[in-house]
Amino acid sequence: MSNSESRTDDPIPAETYHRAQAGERDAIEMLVQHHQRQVRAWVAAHCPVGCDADDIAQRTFLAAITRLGDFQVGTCFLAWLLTIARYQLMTESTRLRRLADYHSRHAPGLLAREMERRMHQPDDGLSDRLVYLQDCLSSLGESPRQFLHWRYDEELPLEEIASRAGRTIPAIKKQLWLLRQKLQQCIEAKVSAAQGGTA
Amino acid sequence: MTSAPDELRFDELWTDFLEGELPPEGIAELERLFEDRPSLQVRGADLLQTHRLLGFLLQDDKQSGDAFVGSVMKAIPQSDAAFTESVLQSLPGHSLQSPVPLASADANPTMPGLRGYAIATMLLVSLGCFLTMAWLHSGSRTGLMVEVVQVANGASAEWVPGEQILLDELALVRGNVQLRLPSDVVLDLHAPVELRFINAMNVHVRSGKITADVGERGKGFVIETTQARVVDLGTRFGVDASNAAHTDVVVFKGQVELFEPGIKERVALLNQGEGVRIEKHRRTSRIVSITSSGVPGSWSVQETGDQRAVITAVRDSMSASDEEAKKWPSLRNFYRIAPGGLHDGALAFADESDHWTSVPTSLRGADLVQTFAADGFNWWMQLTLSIQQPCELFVMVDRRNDVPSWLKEDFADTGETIVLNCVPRNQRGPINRQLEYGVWKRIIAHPGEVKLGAPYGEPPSDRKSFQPNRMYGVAARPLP
Repeated sequence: MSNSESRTDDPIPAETYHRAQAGERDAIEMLVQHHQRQVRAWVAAHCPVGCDADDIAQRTFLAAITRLGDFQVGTCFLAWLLTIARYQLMTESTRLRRLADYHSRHAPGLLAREMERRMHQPDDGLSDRLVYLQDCLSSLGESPRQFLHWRYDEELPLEEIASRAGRTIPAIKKQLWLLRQKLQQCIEAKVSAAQGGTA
Repeated sequence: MTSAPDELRFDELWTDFLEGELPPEGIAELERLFEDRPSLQVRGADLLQTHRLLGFLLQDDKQSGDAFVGSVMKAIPQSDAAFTESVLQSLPGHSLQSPVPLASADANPTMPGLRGYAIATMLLVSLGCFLTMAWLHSGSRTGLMVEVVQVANGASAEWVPGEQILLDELALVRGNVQLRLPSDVVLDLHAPVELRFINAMNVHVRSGKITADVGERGKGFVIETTQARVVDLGTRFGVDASNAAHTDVVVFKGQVELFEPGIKERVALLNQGEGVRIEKHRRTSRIVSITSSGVPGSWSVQETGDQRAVITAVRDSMSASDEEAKKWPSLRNFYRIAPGGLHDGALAFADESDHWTSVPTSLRGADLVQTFAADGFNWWMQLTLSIQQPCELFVMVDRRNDVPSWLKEDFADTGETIVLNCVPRNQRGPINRQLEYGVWKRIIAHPGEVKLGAPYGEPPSDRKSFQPNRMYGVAARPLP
């Protein structure tokens, strides 16, 4: 998801951008529909601990829509959106930093700093990692996928996952940890292979 | 997989961190590990991003995308003309008019047009010597002019009642504030709460608890959270989004409709005295009891932490599944505990407007439990009270029929009377009858759970001619 992508990758015709700039709602909706997935994924991966990713993504689109006149048709709309998203995240990070004892309660400060550093990287290969993660997920068996479904899709509490699986809470924590590790290693192997290293 | 002691400890801490179970001392330990081993910072950030992307991917479906697009489209100005104008104003040749003076900030040289927006959205104003309250003035057109009605408990040293202020977002970290929107909707906000004002008929609560009092002009007012979209039908209701995993909705008066964001099909219609907790995937559960001090907007679904309270929680034997609750809506009723709340005019039931009067001196200022009138004709329920200090426990019972046997066995008749003023359901009519209730008392010497039975021991043999009692009331006061 590089900010320097060229507009030639964009399947949306220039006319749609012009119509959106003229305030036509159907054109705006088309732009939101087309780009929402990448913006939401980028925000989800970069937002500081404790923020609502979809809320930031929504604010990003609203900011973009009210400033559509600034967008130069012919350049990359996604890169423009991600720059706005970056500003939104900077605002959110500032807000969270200013909340009293936020870090001591919610997240280590050094982790927050590393997340902010990544936010400013022009191209962190996020779109590739999203594709790799999808591949890695597909390679998992049904049982591990069920655990991930309970944890991430249904967002069940650990107690309920343990009850459904007939296992203890510590066992569920361990299982989730192993799965995350496995997926992380799978992604890293794919990144390495794509960069010409050994998988 | 690594085996160094630091990394094994990191694995343990990190698992609890991702599950939201890491206490502050664990966060501090994680911070020390990050300081000692900078490579763990990178690993932690990698794992956090993968964790986030997992959440995104596993929830990413057409419905979620459509709901997101719908939320964006709904949040842009409703009037086409106003919206078109706002877009056109951003085109070259139009100057951006901001309602507030903006501070300077670094602009992105590659995006000059974003300068105004970035400055505006990053202007976080703190009041007082610390961040007592912050609000975000935005140069965008989404700000809303609201009237400050009340400011209390150190919420702000600068806002004064009657003042009109432009608000886009509000983060209240201390005290409480009452605001009136242009739609005449009055919002009670108790810190900590964060919300966004979308327009006069719509607010989005990011976290925390708010109570809305909606008059005629505000019918249709909407409060949104991550899990819920609550549409008012003329009412007073509360929404608590303090816990990111669920939203609690309680109705104090009138009716609301409950939806899942982006989904047209209604989750529930809630009436006065009813409440539900909604989680992801439309999962709902009953809110059994709430504590309310009588101060507007001050209510909690948690057990009260007030050491002076006598009764901390109430539950009954009618916990209902979601399916049962749809069939029997009264199974969504909640009990309302009002510490020190028994006085002339106090509401007797959570689901009706009947109120107590001629309150005997011995009962004035006692903690009151508002039961629900819908239970008046019930022979299968059992009520359990959690009592945290020795007390006199009172049950007020309609005298028209025999009192239930459990009351005769466990309580003593004080001979005192309290009167119930019955008010028709439409809540606007006059008192249509008064019923005398006898006051029964039991000394509770040891804190713990106390069980009360049903208003009737068994169903009457002739239900047609039977005139059932109104539901009993419960009160308690600490032993001197």
